[in-house]
Amino acid sequence: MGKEIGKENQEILREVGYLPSEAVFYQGTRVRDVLRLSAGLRKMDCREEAERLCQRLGLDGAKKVEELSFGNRKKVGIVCALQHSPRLLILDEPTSGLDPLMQREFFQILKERNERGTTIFLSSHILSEIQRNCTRAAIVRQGRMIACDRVEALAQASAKRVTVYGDINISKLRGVRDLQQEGDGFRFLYAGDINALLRALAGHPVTDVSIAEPDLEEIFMHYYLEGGAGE
Amino acid sequence: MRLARHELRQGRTALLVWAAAISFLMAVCVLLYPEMEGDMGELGDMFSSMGSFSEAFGMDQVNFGTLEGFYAVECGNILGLGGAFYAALCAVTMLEKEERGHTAEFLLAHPISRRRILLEKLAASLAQVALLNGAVLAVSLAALAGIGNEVPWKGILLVHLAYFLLQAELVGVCFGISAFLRRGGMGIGLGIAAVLYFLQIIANLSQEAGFLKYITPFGYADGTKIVADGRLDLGLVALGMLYGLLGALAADWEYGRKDIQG
Repeated sequence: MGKEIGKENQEILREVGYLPSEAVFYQGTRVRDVLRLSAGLRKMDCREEAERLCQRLGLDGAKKVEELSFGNRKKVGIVCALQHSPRLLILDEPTSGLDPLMQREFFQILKERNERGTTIFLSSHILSEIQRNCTRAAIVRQGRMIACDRVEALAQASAKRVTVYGDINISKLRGVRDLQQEGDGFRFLYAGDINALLRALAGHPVTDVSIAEPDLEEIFMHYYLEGGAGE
Repeated sequence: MRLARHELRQGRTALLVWAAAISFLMAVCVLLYPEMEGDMGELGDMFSSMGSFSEAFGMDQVNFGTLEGFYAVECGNILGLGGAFYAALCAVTMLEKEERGHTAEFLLAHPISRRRILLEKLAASLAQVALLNGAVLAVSLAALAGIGNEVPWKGILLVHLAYFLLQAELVGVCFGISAFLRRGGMGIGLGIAAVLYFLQIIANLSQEAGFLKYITPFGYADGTKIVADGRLDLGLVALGMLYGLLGALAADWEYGRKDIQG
């Protein structure tokens, strides 16, 4: 944005839409009052866009906020964050409380905004939704960013999920984690040299083998448990 | 002034209830006056000669038998205390309720500076107090017109002005306190209003405690004294407004640097 935090906070906030993880609004107010207040504090008239978003998310503007479920309160927060068409969206756990259909609609809206040039920061503990919907991901541990890259690159940079069947011995193999016995085979995460793995397997009668990219959940655990590649 | 309008909307039920309650009690007292007027000759003397009790409520300074004297005493008890409670409650919760109700995160995510938040909330508090006083004055004047007596305009308007200034001072002071709180403002607000009211009673009872009139806004908003003197003590009023202003400046200082919790 080319603006300085602190000195130009108001200008920055004008371009930002923020959804907190727990959206709380003023008791006694109706949904449309909250939306108008939010637009009014930005000195904007966002009624048309708010109406469109409410329709897509199935949100009733006449309801009082204290009558809303957690998911519907979340929808109010989403409309507040989106209605002024900000250049930057910061969304904290945006899908908690939303049913799967609404989550799909929500991500469709985000995709449209992203195509129109909006940058979206999304924090989530549901890593599968990050994997499905985000282009880049960062992993934060104890307040520090320990990894940040394209989702595919993160998957490649971390361990492989290996499933192997047969009479094998991998006790001397380095970089094995999360080892689970499965019938006459093993399932494990492998973060070591891939050639060493192939050599280890080649020395035994293997009946089946699968080496796949782990999902984001496994990548996350890799960085959390192992301290990540850089640590 | 979008936030100020929002605050007025949020506070309208409380404003209506307080305005209705105070107006109703004021009107009842005024409407009772003609019935009491006939018996007031002896009763007025009695009220003004009950020693410390009369001094505490300023009844030794006015003739309770006149409409002006009767109004000054009643007004002091109803509008003085009721208005002070309302003003204190309104202002002391104005900033802390955002943290108590976890709405601060919503508010501060918008492009509005903390100083602007302060100014609009302070303006909303003062507007609510002004509306309350306007409504009470209108109902009281209607009641006075209803009883058909000649209205002692000057005394009555001065008394109402004094109570409005008292409430404005309390708004400033309690607003300042509100900036330092995260929750629990209501008890503190009510406590401050009550303590200030009783400080004036103590100041009336003892000459040694007379200095208390420089602390409590009830020192200049004393209906009986205003009616007796036919004017406000402008020195005390200026001191009171200074306290109110200091409260608002304290709010600006604290709220600008405070780590506000969502």
